[in-house]
Amino acid sequence: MLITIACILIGIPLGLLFRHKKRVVRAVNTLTMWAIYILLFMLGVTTGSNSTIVSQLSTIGVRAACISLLCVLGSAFAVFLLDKFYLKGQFDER
Amino acid sequence: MKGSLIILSFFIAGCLVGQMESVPVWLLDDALSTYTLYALLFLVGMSIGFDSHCWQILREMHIKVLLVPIAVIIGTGAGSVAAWLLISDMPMSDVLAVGAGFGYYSLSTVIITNLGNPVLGSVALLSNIIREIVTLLCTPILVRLFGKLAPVASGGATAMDTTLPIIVRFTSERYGIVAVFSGMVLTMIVPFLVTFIMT
Repeated sequence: MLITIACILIGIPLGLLFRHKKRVVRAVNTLTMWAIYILLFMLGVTTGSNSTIVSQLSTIGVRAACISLLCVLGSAFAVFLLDKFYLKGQFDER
Repeated sequence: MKGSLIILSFFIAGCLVGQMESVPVWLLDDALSTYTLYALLFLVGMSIGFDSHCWQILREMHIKVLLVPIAVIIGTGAGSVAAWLLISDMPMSDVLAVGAGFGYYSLSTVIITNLGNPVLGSVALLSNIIREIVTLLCTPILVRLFGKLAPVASGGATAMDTTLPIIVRFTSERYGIVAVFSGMVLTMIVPFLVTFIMT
């Protein structure tokens, strides 16, 4: 957790430094997408190569999917209500 | 939507490669994904830096930012109860404990397995991986349906690292800061909450 925060903190001053260089901004956006693609691919390899997960996928999987999907919907709806009735778009750009 | 489909195709390609008889060893090594993640976080830090006014918002919001992880905890709990009603043959505390991982699958799985329930541990592993994948895949849809805070909520604890780039990509750098804060609070709470629910 400390390393992950450190990685972000190192990037911020560099971003501030290069914020007017259009080419750097574009390069960072492209690299971000490719890093996401690589991570998702790796997550897929880990999931596909774990024989326990693959063989018991039907029973464990249905329950797990049910819990995670309802948690995603529940939490998304909770922050939707928070934004609509209390924050009212205060985090948006002005 | 196009973004999600491209990401999904990379994940499916990964699953297919993982299914092969001989997976290259370097692909199963954690090091590559760990360093990719670090590079990604560094890039995210740079995008936050590009928006020089973004720190203003944290100063203006103060206590109000704390409401985001609190809403995520309440919403996740409500979702877990709904899942418990739907599944019907699992104890409610078990379902709540799985939900309380907030996508932090490594830690919640270890805690639940160590507390003597390895089967529930594997449910927690899959469920929290799915939560992360759903966030990565559905962020554009979630933003359209529930607003820009939705992927922050959906990502839970992962909103500070793995799902942060996609949140920033489809909302803005300011929501990225909210995401880091919310993710940090949830990450710190996971071990306490899961242990508390299980015992």
